[in-house]
Amino acid sequence: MKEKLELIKKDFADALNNVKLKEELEELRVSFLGKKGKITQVMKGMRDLAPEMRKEVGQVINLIKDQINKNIRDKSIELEKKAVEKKISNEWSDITWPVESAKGTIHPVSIIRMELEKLFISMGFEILDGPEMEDEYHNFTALNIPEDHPARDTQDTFWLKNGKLLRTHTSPIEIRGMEKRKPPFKFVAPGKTFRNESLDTSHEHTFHQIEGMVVDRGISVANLIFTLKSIVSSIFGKEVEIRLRPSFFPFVEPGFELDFRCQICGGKGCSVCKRTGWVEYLGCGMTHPNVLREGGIDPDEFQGFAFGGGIERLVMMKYGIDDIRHFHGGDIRFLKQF
Amino acid sequence: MKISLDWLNDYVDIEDIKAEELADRLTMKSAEVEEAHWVGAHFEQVVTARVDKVVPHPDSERLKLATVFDGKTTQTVVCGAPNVAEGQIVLFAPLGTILPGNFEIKVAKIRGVESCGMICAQDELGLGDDHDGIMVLNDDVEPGKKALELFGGKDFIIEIENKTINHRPDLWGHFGIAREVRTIFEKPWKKELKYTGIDVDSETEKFEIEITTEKCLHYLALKMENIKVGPSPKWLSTRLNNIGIRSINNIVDAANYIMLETGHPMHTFDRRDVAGNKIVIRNADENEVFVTLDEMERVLKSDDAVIADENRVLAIAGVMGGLNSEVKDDTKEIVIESALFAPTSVRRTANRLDLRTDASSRFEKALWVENCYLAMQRFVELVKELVPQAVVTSKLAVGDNSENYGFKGKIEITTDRIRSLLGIPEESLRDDKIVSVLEFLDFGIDNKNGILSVEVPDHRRSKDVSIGEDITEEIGRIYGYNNIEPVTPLFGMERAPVNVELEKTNQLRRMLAETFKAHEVMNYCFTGSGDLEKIPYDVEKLVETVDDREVPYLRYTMASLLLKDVHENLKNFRDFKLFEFGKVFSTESERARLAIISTGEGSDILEMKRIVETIARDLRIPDLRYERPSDDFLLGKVLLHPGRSAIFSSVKPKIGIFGEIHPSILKKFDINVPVSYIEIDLEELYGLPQKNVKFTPLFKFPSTDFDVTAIVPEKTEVAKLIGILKKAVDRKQFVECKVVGHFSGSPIPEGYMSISFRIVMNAKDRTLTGDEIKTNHEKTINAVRKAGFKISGDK
Repeated sequence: MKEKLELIKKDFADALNNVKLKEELEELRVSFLGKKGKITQVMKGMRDLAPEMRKEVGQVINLIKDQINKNIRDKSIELEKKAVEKKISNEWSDITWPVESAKGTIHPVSIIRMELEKLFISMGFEILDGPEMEDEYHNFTALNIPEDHPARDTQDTFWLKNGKLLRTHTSPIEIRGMEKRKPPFKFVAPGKTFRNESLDTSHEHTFHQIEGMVVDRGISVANLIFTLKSIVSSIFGKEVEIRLRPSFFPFVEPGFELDFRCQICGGKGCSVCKRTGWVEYLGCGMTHPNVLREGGIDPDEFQGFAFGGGIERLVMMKYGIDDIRHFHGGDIRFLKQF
Repeated sequence: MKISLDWLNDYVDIEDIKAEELADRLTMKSAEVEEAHWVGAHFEQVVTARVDKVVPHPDSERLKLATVFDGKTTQTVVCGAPNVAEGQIVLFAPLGTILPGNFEIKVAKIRGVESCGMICAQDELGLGDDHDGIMVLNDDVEPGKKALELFGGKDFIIEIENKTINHRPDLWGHFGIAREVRTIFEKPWKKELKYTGIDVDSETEKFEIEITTEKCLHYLALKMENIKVGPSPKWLSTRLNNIGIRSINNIVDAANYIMLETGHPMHTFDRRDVAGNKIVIRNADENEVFVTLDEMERVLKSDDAVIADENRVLAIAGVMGGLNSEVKDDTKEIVIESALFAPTSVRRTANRLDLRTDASSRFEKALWVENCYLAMQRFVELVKELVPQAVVTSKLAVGDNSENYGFKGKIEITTDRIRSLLGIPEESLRDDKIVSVLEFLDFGIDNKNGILSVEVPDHRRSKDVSIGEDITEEIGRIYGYNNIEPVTPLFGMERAPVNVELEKTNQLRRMLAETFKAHEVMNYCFTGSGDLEKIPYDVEKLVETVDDREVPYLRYTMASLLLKDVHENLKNFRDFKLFEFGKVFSTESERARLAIISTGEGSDILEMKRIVETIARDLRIPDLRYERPSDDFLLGKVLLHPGRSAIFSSVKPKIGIFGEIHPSILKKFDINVPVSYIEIDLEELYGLPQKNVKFTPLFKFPSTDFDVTAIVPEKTEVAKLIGILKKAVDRKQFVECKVVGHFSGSPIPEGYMSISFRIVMNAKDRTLTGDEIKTNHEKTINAVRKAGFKISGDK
């Protein structure tokens, strides 16, 4: 009987070696361990053995059964592994195949505008909006711009037949903002503005500005400098040197022009900064008492500052765009770059 | 405006200040210096030299070899000038000289011969335009003299950005700039200009001034005799030349010089051309014709102010004099005008005539009355210096109309208020510093323990200083804004209100780009009559046209410019979507709109509906309803294909439109592929309430479904069929009805189509039995048949 078992063991080993497919493995198992399998047959013959022999042979049979089961399991894993390897070896993708992004694009002016909005919201500013078809009062008169100021001329302003005009700056939102608020407050207002200019690479009749205003008791030039410095640094994502130059805008007093260190040349002087090392960016200043009064705010009690600047200039600096006319061109070849 | 530092040095000693630093400090404290450069530096290097020998160039017919002696050494130069000759005294630029235009003289080999230096022509030295030959000096000039002994020394010229001094009439002349420099560097006056009076040498005439227009505020006239018109001396022509003014003759140059010194424009008439003794400043007659100094015929309007004698116009006030009375070479007697004209009037006239002169741009800035007197006095002084025998032969004739001009009062402000506005602590800005700055700038100060009563000087009263904040600016800029320590504003912790509309817009912007691969565009809000013909609409011309601009309308639909964008982009792309957030206008109002335009793959009406549904889902607005356009809402009837378009509504009617662009509109825009379009009124859309999101428990038991395929005539709305099916089944067990397929063509009879529906049902508390499903299925089939339609397989 022992010899018989040895023979079976050898038979199994040979048969296992010849197995190539997973289905054959099951057949092999049945042929040894199934109801009519070789081992089962041997076990049936055990009835004829003496009890002590039966125990001994039983143990041997169990060992062989375990061994067969284990071998079949191992073989199965091995075959599966081989099958996967074979499958993989024939599969290949061309990773150089060109594909397109599944996304459309947001206009570069909107991208920067949204970034600015996010920045100001994080600083606790409210974001306001105002009409593009504005009245003379909000666009000029309330902003302390005198009746005979050249800015009111048709050469600069798109006047409309209904007596209104297309706003020439976002500053009228200062007045609209003040009318509906009690200090302290701080808001910014990005938006489209219009000037009656002829087009060239750096002039547009339609462009975007962002206006900002902060009003509270005791607001000072020192506060303005602090705020604008942190805004400019946030825009560029690093500490950027700024400077204020005296300048004149009717709605602020004192008024300044804010320059920042040219980020193209680092201040050495290049064509972008006209070799000065500085880029003129914002008009700003302490809100003129007449303007506060028009907004219903007592200038003896409250002080404020305001600032306004173009958005296109930032976009052009950021992406190196050389012609402002692209922004209103509607050309996908331009738009899809952002 | 150009400023010469050499000239400034007449009034304030600036020899110890570096030119570049002065320019920089002016930018930071007074007015922007946009450009600065040295002129005449080469005059220290260029010398006089004698041409000792001229021989032909061995290898050129045109060139010559000249041997020159510069007082110390002898050099050979290759010279192309036709007029070079032996014995001439010329101007010689030795090696190393840098001529204007940053042109450095180096050893050069010209056709095989070494040239060491250059004999200069007039233009090469920046002395004029002449390039016909080299400059030849009188032969009594010795060789070896530095050119600066002949042409004046070097000078540093700064150019001030005019727009930064629009509000500062006092800075339009050297003396005003000198006042700033003196304040910035705390220097005493070297020479202060003050009006002290003009002596009459011998009165031969009396003039009368008559002002009949509010456009003239003040007018002074004075006569001088024994004038001798001739070239200006070197110092005068050099000064003018250095700041870009061409020297003409001593009298014209004197007027220009005084304007550039005091900022006040002067004008001189030839006495022979002024009839009588009365000068009248009046409004021009309508369409009066007048020839200005530049020999141009000008047609005047009654809005223009003119200077006239009893017969005719002599000058356009504040803009330009007339050819009829200009100073000529033989002029012996002159009448001098020093006047003040109303800024707005001068600006309007100059703009209308397109004649912006140095004079008009200064009058526009609002000069001051007192400056008329100072300028007149300085002019007389200068003419007497240039023409020693000249005499004043009339009293100063005065016409005044300036009673209500400029700020008259005093400004009361405390030093604490100044510090508070600037945000500077007292230890950094003491009261005495404040007072000292103002005094340097010629303000009169009465200081009572920090309470200041400030008297504004004449040159600041006419325009820019009238309130305490103006005084604060003077202190701030001289203190230096960049010396102010930044301080964070103190603010409460309240959250800033959120701009909900803006957030929605940004959300949709991202969604359209990300989900629908659309590109955002920005178009102008202007539209021309060409567009109006393409998309007819009853709209008024809204833009006041100044010239014949092509775009007198503001856009009334977003479609016209987007269709143009599509037309243009079709040259490079086939499948694309564009979207734009923008405004449309009418006489009464403006409306915010969102428009989406689509062509190529994925551009059918259902894709438009999908976008609209996604917008609704994104904004969580209540369910949308769709109907065919019945009126002109958003121009839907004009713009869109009548069979392939819809108006959609929600809990409020009419939010927007979508559909295919009408083929006849496409044709007008020269587009020959289908284009779909959506336009949404954002005020309506954003005005909708938000839907409450409420969780529905998931079914515990599996759902069951069955399909029904109906054969229906074409143009049968699927919603109608869904309604029939929905109604037919057990309402409590109904989950949804989906369209799973549709088909037309054989074997479906012509004019018909088949649509397959899948009805999903669930009993919520158990699995539905086969019988129940069967019953419901039969009910739906019967309902479809009852409605007059066939079921697939029916005969």
